Amino acid sequence: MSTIRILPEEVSNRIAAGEVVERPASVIKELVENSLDAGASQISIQVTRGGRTLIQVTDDGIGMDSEDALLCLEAHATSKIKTASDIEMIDCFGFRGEALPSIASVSHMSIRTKPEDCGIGTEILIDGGVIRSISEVGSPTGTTITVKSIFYNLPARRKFLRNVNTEEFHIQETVLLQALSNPAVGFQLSFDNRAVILVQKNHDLSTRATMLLGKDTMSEMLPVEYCDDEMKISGLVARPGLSRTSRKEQRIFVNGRAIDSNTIYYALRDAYHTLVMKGRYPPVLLFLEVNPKFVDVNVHPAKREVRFRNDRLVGQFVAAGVQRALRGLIVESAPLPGPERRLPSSSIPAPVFLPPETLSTESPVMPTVDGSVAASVAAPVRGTGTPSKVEGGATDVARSQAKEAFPLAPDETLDFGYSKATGPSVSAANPAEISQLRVLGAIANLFLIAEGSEGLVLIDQHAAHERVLYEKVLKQAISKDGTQQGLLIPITVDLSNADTKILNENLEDINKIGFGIENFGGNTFIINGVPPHFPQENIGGMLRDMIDELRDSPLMSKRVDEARIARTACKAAVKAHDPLSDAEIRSLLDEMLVAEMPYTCPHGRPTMINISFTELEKRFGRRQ
Amino acid sequence: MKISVDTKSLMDSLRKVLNIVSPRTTLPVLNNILLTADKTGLSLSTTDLEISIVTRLEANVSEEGEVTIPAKKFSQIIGTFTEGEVALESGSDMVTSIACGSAKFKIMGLNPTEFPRQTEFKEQQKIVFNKRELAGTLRKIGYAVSNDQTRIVLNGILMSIHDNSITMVATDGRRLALVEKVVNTSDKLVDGDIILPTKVVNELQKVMDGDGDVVIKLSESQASFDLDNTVITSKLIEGSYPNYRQVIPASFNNSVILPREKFNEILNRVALVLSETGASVKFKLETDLLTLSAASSEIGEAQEPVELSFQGDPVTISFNPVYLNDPLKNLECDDFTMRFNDEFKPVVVLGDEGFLYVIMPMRN
Repeated sequence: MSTIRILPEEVSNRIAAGEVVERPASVIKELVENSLDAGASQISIQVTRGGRTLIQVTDDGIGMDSEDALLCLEAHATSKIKTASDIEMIDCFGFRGEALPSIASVSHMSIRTKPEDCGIGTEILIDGGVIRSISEVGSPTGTTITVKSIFYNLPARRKFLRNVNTEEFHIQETVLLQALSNPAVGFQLSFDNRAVILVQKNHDLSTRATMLLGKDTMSEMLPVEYCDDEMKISGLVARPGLSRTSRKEQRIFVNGRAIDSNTIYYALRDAYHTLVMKGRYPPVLLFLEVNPKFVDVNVHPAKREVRFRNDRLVGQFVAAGVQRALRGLIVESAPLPGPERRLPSSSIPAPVFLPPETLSTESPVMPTVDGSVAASVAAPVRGTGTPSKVEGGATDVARSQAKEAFPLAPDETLDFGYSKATGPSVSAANPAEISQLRVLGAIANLFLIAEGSEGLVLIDQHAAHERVLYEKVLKQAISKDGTQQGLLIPITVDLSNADTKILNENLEDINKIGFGIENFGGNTFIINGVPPHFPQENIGGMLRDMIDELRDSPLMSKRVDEARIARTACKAAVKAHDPLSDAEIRSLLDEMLVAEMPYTCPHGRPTMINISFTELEKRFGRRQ
Repeated sequence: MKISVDTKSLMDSLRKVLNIVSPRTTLPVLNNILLTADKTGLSLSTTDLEISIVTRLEANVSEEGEVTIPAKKFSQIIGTFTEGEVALESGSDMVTSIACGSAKFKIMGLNPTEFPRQTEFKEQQKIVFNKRELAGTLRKIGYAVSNDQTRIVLNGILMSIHDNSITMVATDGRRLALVEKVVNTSDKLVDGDIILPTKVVNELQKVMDGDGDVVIKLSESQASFDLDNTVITSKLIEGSYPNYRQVIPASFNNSVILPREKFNEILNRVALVLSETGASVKFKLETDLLTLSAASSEIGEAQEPVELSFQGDPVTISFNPVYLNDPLKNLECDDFTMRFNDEFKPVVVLGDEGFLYVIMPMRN
């Protein structure tokens, strides 16, 4: 007797459930995606006890007739794709036809649905994948799916569910991501009948993003808008200075789908090169639109990962888009391309007008610094405002967002001379801001103190000078790019297969900056020339280091000699405790003015921080 | 051991052996000088295990013997004595008494048996050089030695013996300098290549003063240099030196002759506007005119014409000025010759007899 057999459907569904249905949040993800694919304009989600007891998703989408309702419970039954070739061009969220049967097989499920053109709706009750009853019921147009007692028949999985708070956190993050990527759809999420997320159809991205990130963070975000023939990127990225210790707040959507992508993480790291400290991650909210032909979403059952047909191109595109946005900081006068649809231009600066409210003043010693730098410098102090968690009360905030934000704005503008282009912190200031600083002096021969239009500005003289010199030296180096000192005795380097591939891919770029490297067949390379300032020692080793760099970050924006340049700048910069005269301070600030990225030193530390008047007034009890 | 020795000549001899004493070593005895007194006088020895230097001087030896003494302290003490004789005395306790005038010291040393001795030197051949000539050769090529620790063979000077001619070569991979000399000897020299470490070359240059000869003795793995009262012995660098003949172009289209000192002055003057190492000076050659020019974005620009005789096609070649200044300042000839093909191929500089220098131009 053969020992290999085809598994009954019930078993295979449960196996699929293991992949797709990891926790209540994944059930919600699948159900909400179905609703979105059904063209819903309003989706409401009810959750009880973190989803253990009840998950209910109601939409006003196209609904199903009784035949479809039954069919949707069959494995690999889907209305979303028809042929294998459709997989190449997926433009809807679901397509595997696995979600519903999988969820049904591990819960008590009920489906109540009615298509628009039908007078009467259908209700199906399923227990552990077995259909218990089908009946005709009255129902509004759309679909309501109720999932009760999830994993009741998988005790092992049930045991792995975390406590209610954790599950609620995951659910909330899931719904927020959906809400962010679908600005045309209204979302309502309730935990135990307590509304947590409430966004109306007409709430634009900025309102939604404010809910997600918190007002403070939002005021530190810059709009991104960049496109070429193939791709388009839009969204928000953190101003230099704002960063977190994990990638959690780097939210990336590809064609509306929230995903993790190393390609894009690397691109971000590249774009923020020298702007964030090592091991810190600037929050971003990025929407990438790529022709579906060039993305493979059929990689991961939960579709958390995607593959790009051309990683390098996508990476370069994202890096370029983000860099442009970061540069836009400096060249405030050069208008960013008009945001087209995700970011109505009027909406973006709106949160900027908000006074910082959630700043903690717990610590009497450490003055809470307003704005982005606070996020990195005084991160522990602002525990209460963790932006990724919108607490229960956030609904109210969201609801009254518009009311609250706009009436306040004019006052704030008058009081503190906020300009539309600048946020409340110096890290967000424009060049004019620096030129307007009134230098008051220096303390400890280390920090320069100045008055800006927005408050008290402290400048680290070493970091500031370092940045100025770094850019100068870098510019010089770039102007010499392509110059090559030929080698009389070429150096031969043998590489591994993997390294050979990387080097071959980047050979042209590397040779552009002055190397003369040729593939000598196989894995052997010959170095015939090096950039003139390149040190004599260990050229082969340098090449290997360069390849390692390239492996980690597939974009050639990092110069091989950048570390050297940063070192030169660091050595030549005025040190802490060097006394500076007023004229020297003024000239340092003037040079900062023309620096491309004046807000951080080449190592990513901030060069200046701002303590806003608001904050000072609060400190002195003039303001609550 | 009990001796007395002239203070000044002791100090002179100390200077010859001190350089290779490393202050940082895991073997404490290497910080010490070995003093050996015998009938013929006093000898001072130091070593860093790669190189050892022994120098002899006259002394009144009343009792033969050996002792080690910390090199730095010893030379500091002797250096404070201005004239007269120094009396040195030591017993079995490894302590050396130093007396000069009314000053008396007792300095602790280490057991002389711990001092590393020379391994047996199997002489394979002997070459006699004029001191002045050898010093000149080393000066003319020494700057081109590489300090790239990953290409250890380039960290020394190649001495290649072939058909009774000796070629000394140094290169760092970007330029190459060599001096070729025919040895006038009735004996046939054994052909072969050895690589002398930079360190021994530097030591040699310090001790080669005045006229006279240097006797170079070669063994399988060592070379020794015998000059007057001093013998320097060094390990050789193992490995094979790149085929230096290959980098010397076989033929040239063009050749120009320039006055060495005057031209070097112009080169250095023009290079003053360059802000960092690695920048280039352009050589623009037209009929009977060479124009040197340089520019940097931070400082400015400079140019200066030089008249010469040139009939070839106009061409512009860029060089790292340092790489040209190096040979020009070390040569002795009045005029030098530059031979080249185009702006990409290696360029050759000829000057003193037997001297040849190859340099790779810079590409823009």
